[in-house]
Amino acid sequence: MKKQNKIVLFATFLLSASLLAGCGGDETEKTQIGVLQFGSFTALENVKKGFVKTLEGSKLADQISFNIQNPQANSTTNTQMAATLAAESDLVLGIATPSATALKSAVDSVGTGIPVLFAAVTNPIGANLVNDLVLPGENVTGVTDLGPIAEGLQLVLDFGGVDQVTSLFTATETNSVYQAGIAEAFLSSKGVSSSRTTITNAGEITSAIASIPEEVDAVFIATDDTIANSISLVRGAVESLDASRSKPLIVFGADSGLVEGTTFSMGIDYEASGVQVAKQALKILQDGAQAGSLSVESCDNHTISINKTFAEKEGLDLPESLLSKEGATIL
Amino acid sequence: MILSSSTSIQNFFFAPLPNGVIFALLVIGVFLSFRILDVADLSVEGIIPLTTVVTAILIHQGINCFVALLISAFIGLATGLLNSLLTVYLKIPALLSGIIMMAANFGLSIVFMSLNGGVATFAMSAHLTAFNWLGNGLKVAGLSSYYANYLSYIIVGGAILALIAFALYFFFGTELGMSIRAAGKNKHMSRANGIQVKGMFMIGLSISGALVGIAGSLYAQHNGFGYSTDGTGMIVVGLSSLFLGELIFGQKSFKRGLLASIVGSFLYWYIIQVLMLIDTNGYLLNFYKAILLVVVILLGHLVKHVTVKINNKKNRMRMTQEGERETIQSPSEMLQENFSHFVLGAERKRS
Repeated sequence: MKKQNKIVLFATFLLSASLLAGCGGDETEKTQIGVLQFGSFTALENVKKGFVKTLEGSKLADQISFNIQNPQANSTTNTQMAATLAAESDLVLGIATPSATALKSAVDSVGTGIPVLFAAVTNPIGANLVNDLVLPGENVTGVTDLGPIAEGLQLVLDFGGVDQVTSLFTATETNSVYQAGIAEAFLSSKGVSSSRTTITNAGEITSAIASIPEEVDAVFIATDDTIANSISLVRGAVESLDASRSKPLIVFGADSGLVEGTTFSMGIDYEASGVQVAKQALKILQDGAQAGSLSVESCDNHTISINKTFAEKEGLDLPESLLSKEGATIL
Repeated sequence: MILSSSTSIQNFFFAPLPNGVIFALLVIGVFLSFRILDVADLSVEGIIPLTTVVTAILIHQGINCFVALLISAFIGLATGLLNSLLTVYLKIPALLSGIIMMAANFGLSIVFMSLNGGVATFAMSAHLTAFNWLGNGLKVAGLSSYYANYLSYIIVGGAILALIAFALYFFFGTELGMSIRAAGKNKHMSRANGIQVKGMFMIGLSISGALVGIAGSLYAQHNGFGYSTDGTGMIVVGLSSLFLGELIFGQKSFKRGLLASIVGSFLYWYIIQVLMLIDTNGYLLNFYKAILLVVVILLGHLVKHVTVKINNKKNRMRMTQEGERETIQSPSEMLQENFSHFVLGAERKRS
């Protein structure tokens, strides 16, 4: 009796599971496009928006169907979703590094060889997605989200009197660590010293900023999802620190989404990068191009956001060259 | 490349397999610490990211995947040992010492990733892993790469799991193993019987840590990368899988515990796969998981209730058939029976 109950329980579970599994496969004729978006961060949402909108507006619109999955930044769910998408799609897009690498590994092991596109990845070579940016080979290509860090930092230096810049970033985010490295290389070429202020979660932001020493003149914030999500916290911490400093901190962000907490920010337009990766997808689906023959693109649509209120509060004179930049949003 | 619904079903059965195999080891580790030693060992959430990051970096450097596996097992073992030392000698509560080891290992994983330029990845196609060496061989033998891939998880994962499960079953049946179980069940009684409780605790946690380390390493070899955020939620995975398994096998013996860990792990990942079909956006995934756990515990109560009722009925029937109770036990028999019941948790023999 006892055993029978358990067997019945288990069988019911399996049966209901397989019934549900059957529900998934009603789209039989269409080209399946799998999208794995690592989390619900603003930048990643914008990439998805650009990608889906472009494909739905193309000639292929009625021949494709999307399967968009989001593991909510959970790494095990990410892996399992990648395995499902790799086996069931004709083309996959990974948004953010963990999703893109998981998709590539899954496609490699399942062996379907379907094209893998990536977006919102800063360092595709370091993440082993591609070996070469111009001619990636194999089945992977995409759009990087590396912003104009050097250009932005040059503008910071143009304020004058900037001798030390600290990079504020989350140590667990691959993209941020890479960008901090780029910033440091640029700064040392200009003879400006640099330091690092790292956090591992949003809870540490306030104390990390409070510990920035007096010698530091400016803060550089990379495209960092954790910090972008708590940017108002950054602002509050910077303002309370400024009250005890002789000179206010200049805060520069490499992501236009950071505008609510930075003096000015300069980054790529994530929606435009989604559009760009959708165009690569169209080249593959329409023209039959091999993913490996398409170069990895960088996004040239830069957005500049200037926060005049903060600048005035901090007594900074924004240079005319910055204010008159084309397409700049001034708050 | 037209896909039929049969691919979906086939995929439904194959996709959770790798996670099921890999995390079964983690669940056994959690079973050892949580059920056998009676501590909620949170260091699991630190061992996983450290071993995934270390494994990914080592394999990228060209080190053999099985060597990376052994190094990871050693990392887990060392963590477990340190964890138990903190508890035993510094008298830190086990829960807190687990949190300390979690923080330490998580911190180390960040350090290793930063030293490696913020990444810990290797190219699956260029390096051999515990799974794809067999997968590649099966492909050469003419199997389609889809089946070759999943078959390699079944064979390699199954072999590792079987080896470890049998080794543990054998070990926990020896005098030393029995002493560890006794020390976890009843500290005072064990000490009174001359068991070195502290030492047993140290050995037990080390074994548990080593198993979690192996799971972490295999997870990185399955993914092709390691991240310092990999550990988030791992203790939840371990405990929920264990509870799921115990729903079927109960907690009566060590063998059942092992089986519950393994089967529970697979059940957990199949349930996640079902949840994914319902909610692909993932917004509700965690919420559903919470509901699922409540349902599982309710089901557990229900099954227990039903089985107790059935057993009672059986016992009543036997009692009336037998008529009178058997003769009174001698004191030594009573002591023996109580010892096995309280100390080893063994099932009371029915005469």
